[in-house]
Amino acid sequence: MNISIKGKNDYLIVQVKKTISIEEGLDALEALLDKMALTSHGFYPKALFDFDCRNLNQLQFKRLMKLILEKKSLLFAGFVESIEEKKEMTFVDRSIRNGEILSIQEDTLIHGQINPGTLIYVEDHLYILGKISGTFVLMNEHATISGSYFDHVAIYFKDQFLQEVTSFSQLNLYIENGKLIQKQGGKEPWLE
Amino acid sequence: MARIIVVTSGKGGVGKSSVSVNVASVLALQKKRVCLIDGDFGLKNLDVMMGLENRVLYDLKDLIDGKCSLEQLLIRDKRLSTLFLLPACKSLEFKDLDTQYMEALVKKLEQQFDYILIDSPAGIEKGFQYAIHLAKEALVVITLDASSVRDADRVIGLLLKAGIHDLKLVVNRVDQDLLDRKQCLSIQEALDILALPMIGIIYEDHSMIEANNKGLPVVIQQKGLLYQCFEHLVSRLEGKDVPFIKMRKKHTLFSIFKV
Ligand SMILES: Nc1ncnc2c1ncn2[C@@H]1O[C@H](COP(=O)(O)OP(=O)(O)O)[C@@H](O)[C@H]1O
Ligand SMILES: [Mg+2]
Repeated sequence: MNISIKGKNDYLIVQVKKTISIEEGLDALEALLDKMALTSHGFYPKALFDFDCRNLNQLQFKRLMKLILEKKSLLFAGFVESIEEKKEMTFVDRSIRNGEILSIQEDTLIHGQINPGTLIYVEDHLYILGKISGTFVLMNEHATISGSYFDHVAIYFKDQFLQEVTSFSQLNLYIENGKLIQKQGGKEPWLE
Repeated sequence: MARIIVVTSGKGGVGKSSVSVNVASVLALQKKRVCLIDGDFGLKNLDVMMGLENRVLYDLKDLIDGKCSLEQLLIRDKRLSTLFLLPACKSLEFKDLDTQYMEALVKKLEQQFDYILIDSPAGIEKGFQYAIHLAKEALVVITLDASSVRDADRVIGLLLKAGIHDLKLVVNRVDQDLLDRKQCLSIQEALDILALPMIGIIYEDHSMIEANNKGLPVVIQQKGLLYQCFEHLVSRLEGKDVPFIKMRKKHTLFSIFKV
């Protein structure tokens, strides 16, 4: 199916697959509305349209409105800007000290320094604002470590030691094909 | 109400007992009522450092067993009338200590004193948890070597975990020669790692060792470098803003020749 309908709170969400064009989506919508009678006892359900963040041009928008008016099976309630749920970030407002072992399983921002003698397992994106020492174990190729002051940081990929990193400029560390990648500057690889 | 401060460290031998005795003595010189608890059970030595070892008649266990009163247990210092030592005992096992009992004891002491200082065992030793349990503030004593700083970092983590957030550093045995020759960590390097406010710099001075052996706190004379260091530390403890004492560079032969 190129188009799907879900209920969320009091709304229907009409979602057009990102793999098809907006025109194709509108065609599919027309076919769908022909088939389905969405009214129940005279009430029209409110519908939000989701074209995967794409903007409809004037013509496309007119066609959508016309469709809705003609088919008289739902009310237009607007567009969904993004269906992706906002990812929450864990915030740690302290330094990590000698002897502490942490496991980072979700996006985490550490506002503090990482001292020598700490061991940190990383499975997701880890951002560190302070000076970084200690040992980091990247558990997968999705995991990243970002910071701007690395002082003899030992990097492992799973149980394999890769290298020590010292850097005074902004760095993003992650694994690609089993190798450690050190990307400089504020360009986040996971956003590309 | 007394301020309850534990004096602790990551490593043994960095000067916790020396710092406890001298901080307590300077406070008492300023007429503060001070109770110094020898919390380093098993390694009791405050009585020796204060020259009070012959006065220890009772210990904590006697108090718990009802063999003596709190007044009998507290030993008044020979020279400073507002300084009292609460001695522990070698025979006392930690399992004998009832935390609730100790809390009640501290509640009682709180009413009678301005300061309760607890000389604790090093962070990794048995009894550390128990000693910090009683305190609301901590002085963490370090020296300028990497292992002392690393161990202190660990202990600071434990203190924070135990809910003690009022932590201050005392850097002890600072040797200006070693610093000048870069043969030890710099104070800034230690502070960078531990990220806590520093409340005192105590220089390395043989007078400390002599005084400890004589059972006469080094600050009692109220003069000399170490007295100044401790006096400044206590001023900061009391919330005053005083500068840290700087040592003049020693004119070694090398530096004279260089001129
Ligand atoms: N500032 C100092 N200068 C010289 N010697 C010191 C100084 N501080 C402590 N010492 C000596 O170091 C040794 C250990 O000190 P102590 O106070 O017993 O440490 P702790 O209680 O941490 O085990 C003692 O011999 C003591 O006299
Ligand atoms: Mg001691």
